[in-house]
Amino acid sequence: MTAVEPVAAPDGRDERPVLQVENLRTEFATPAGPLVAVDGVSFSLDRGKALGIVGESGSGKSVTARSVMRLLPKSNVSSTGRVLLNGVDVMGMSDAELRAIWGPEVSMVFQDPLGSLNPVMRIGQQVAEGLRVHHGVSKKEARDTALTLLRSVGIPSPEARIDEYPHQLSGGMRQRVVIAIALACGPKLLIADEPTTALDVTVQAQILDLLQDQQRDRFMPLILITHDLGVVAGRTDEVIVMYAGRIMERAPTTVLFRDMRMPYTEALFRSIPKIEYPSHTRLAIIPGRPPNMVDPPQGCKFADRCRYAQERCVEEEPELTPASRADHVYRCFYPVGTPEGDEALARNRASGRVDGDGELVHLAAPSGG
Amino acid sequence: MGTLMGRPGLAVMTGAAAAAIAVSAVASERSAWSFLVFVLGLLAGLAVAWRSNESPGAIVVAGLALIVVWAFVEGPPVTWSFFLIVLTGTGAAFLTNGRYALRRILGVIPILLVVSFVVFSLMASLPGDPAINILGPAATPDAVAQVNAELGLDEPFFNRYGNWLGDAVMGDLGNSVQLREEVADGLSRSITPSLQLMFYSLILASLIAFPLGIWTAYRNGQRVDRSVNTVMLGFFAVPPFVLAIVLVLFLAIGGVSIFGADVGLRILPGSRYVPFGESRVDHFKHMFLPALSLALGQAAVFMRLLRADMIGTLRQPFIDLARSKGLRTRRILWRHALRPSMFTLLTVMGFTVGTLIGGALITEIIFVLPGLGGYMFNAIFQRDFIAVQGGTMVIATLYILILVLVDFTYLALDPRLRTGGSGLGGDGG
Repeated sequence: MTAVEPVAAPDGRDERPVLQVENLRTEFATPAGPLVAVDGVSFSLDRGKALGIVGESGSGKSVTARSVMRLLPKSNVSSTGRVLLNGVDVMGMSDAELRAIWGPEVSMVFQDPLGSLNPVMRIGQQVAEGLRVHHGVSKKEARDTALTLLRSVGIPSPEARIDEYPHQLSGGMRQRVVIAIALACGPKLLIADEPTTALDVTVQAQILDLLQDQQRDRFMPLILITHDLGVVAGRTDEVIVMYAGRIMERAPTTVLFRDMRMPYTEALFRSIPKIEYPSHTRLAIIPGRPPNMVDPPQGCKFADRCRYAQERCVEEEPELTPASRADHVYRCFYPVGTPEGDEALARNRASGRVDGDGELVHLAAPSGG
Repeated sequence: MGTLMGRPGLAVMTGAAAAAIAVSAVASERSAWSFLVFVLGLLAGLAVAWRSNESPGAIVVAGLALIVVWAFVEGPPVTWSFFLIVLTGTGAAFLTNGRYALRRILGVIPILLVVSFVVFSLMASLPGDPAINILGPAATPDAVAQVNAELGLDEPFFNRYGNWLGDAVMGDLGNSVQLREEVADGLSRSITPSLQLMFYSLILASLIAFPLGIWTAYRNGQRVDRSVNTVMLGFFAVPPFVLAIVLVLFLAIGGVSIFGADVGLRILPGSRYVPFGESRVDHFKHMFLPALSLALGQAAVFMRLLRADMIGTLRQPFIDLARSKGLRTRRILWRHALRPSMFTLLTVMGFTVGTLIGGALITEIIFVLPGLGGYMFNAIFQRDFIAVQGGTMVIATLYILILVLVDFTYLALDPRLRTGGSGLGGDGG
């Protein structure tokens, strides 16, 4: 491929993570009171690595990404904690400093490829705009770079396409343009917020492969946000599973799929269709919905939807605990695949909370029903 | 690929426009150099628009700017500028969506036919006899019959309508008995101040409404937003003629005192119409207050509409993406959010501004402008049916053309409506 921007060379000496997030907490002011969308999230991302953040809608994964970029509106949102991007504190940055890092340091691929492109601007202009603003290049140069970028994200005959408007492109092509915009200034961190959710299934794999190729070619750290565990499998180095604004489980991707501990991760995993299933197999769903974060339950936030939940889960919230290895942590008293977990599941089966197929029957916390 | 297909059409259109302007310039014996300036400017503007790969919107803007420049250099009849603007808009529309533009332009014809028929029927059914108006109340029946025969008033209704319509199409709207001149002459004389008032108030209202609308949308719900809204609502609530009188008192006549302190300024002249050709500076000095008194109320409406649409646009994901590129707020607001937020505003602008063609009577009276409102007012009270008929037709035609122009402006604003060029181009993407 044609490298547009100088690509950071693999550099063994610099061991400092590209992104360090410590105890991130983001609150939205709502009429009903403060809504804690992200609560105590910490993670770090090393150079050239890909991190997946997985969770349902409303689990706080997108808000986490936007808080890291500080892209949320200031009027009704407040974030605390520490976010270091290449060692520089993002939380203390002024508007002008943020504008300077948006594009060259960190950029984002948005979810809805039609909605995120300006309908009345030519795609070439939209790709070139960041280059003009950040690198001060001439119109001609910016256009040439935009052409190269469009080619590198797999837009056929970019010379003809560059002057088209978003509505003239298909959904997959639009998302390629969004990716080209995000890559334009050679970001040192790319955040992809559900990049394939709005796309046809046939196109999803292409876009994910494109992101993966770009990530590897540019040695660029990537945060891939998705509600689909299947998307992060094989494409990320590490996975964070989020629920109710919290990290529920964090592990290297291969470890997570082999040895998941968190019942929520298991529930997400059970809802992925598998190729080896006979056709028309009913997929396991996660009953219920995430808790109201204005007035969250006291104990484990997943307790009322959990097959393993016991009374203790309702009263007390578990801390993140390391599993067999230090880089694998989870937040559960009765983890999957352990004697405690098996026992809890058996107890729930006996009490009728879980049926013979292992599905949750009663949608309430154990002590309540 | 609308733009690529439209390019040969663009050249053809430029040539045709240049030729048309050349012919009309020669016909009106205007000085050759200023005409040359205009044509060269137009070509330069089109070349710039073409080279920079801009949308038809840029071509329209370039065209409009040149018409304004031309007006400054030469001071053509305002009606010319108006038709040039319509021509530019139509040309651009043909380039971007030929079939739509053609349909829209052809659609004007039946509308005008209906309007003309209604106007003619209404006038014909009004009480009063034109012959008696001419001859006076003491006229003998023979003389009345003779005048009716001379005027063709003894013919059947549809013949009279046909005759009138045929003449009107050729630019002959008949003779005004009271003013002893051709109606077309009287109209073209009085339409100039009216169109000027319309243009100037539109420009002033836009200058006020655009920044305020964008700013209040950005600061939605904050104190700035609320206070600007309150003030503008005040301007909207006060009738334009009251504003006019207050403005005249404060800015022109002077000598106003509040609690004994003199707050009046005498920075602007009083009420009088100075034609553009007589003195350009004085012309604008005299037109400023009438235009402003109309513009303040309009600006309030425009601002509210722009603000409402803009608030919606600012919630769109593409605004997030624009922010995430590290663009400045000003650039996001003006370059990214404004254009998609202008549709309602443009529609209402067309209606509001169109109403001013003949409807600024009170402002015309206060500022002693010899405009179309006053002309129509006098014609109605003097039972000058021919003049009323002609005036109504002209006002209706201009109004409809403005609305068509607004429809064409949508094409410039929204590429999704463009399908490609006229017969010269392909079907587009």
